[in-house]
Amino acid sequence: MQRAIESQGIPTVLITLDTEQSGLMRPPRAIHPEGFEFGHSTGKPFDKETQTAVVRAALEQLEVKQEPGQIHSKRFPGY
Amino acid sequence: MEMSRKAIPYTPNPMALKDMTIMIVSTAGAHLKEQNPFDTAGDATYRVIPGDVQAGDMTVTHGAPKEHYNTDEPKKDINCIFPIDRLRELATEGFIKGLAEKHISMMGYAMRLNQINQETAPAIAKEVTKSQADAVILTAG
Repeated sequence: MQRAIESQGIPTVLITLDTEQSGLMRPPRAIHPEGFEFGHSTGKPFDKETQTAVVRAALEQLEVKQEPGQIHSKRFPGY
Repeated sequence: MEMSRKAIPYTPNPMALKDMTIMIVSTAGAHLKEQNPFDTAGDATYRVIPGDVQAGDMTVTHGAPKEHYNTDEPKKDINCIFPIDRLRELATEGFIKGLAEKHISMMGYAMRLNQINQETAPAIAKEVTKSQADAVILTAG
């Protein structure tokens, strides 16, 4: 999906919890919030602080020139 | 268009976040409560989520085993996998310019990979292009 969108000239960033699967797909830009359970891509329900931090961190990847295919793992201590 | 698995399509982004309109594309199975749920046995369709959606009007249907992806959590707060309110707040504070007029949702774990690669993904890419979003944030569950 991400590849189809990127190839139309629209930059994308993925939040993935499954680095194994996503790694195979070699995403153009991606972050991996370490230790998050599925269903919690951005954080637990109503944990606005963590959700915002994850979304910000993902969006910030758009401003970073990078080597595509790498997944940037990040810790979010609030989780 | 057939895409090589070796080459990674990468669109450089020259824009600053504060000038960008962002669209959500998710494979986490989110949809409006009033829309048809995804077929948990396999589903290559997608749902268009209106830009002015209220988080409370959304729910999740997903075919993955519950021990792998517990949809009870995003059902309590859709922002767990579809961060619509968080993006709106970031737009209000000027971190991004705004949100797209619509967002796209589908169900991962959809089994119909050929159909998704050949039909669904290109159709979604076309929706994104038409939306004039400057970038897309993807979530997978």
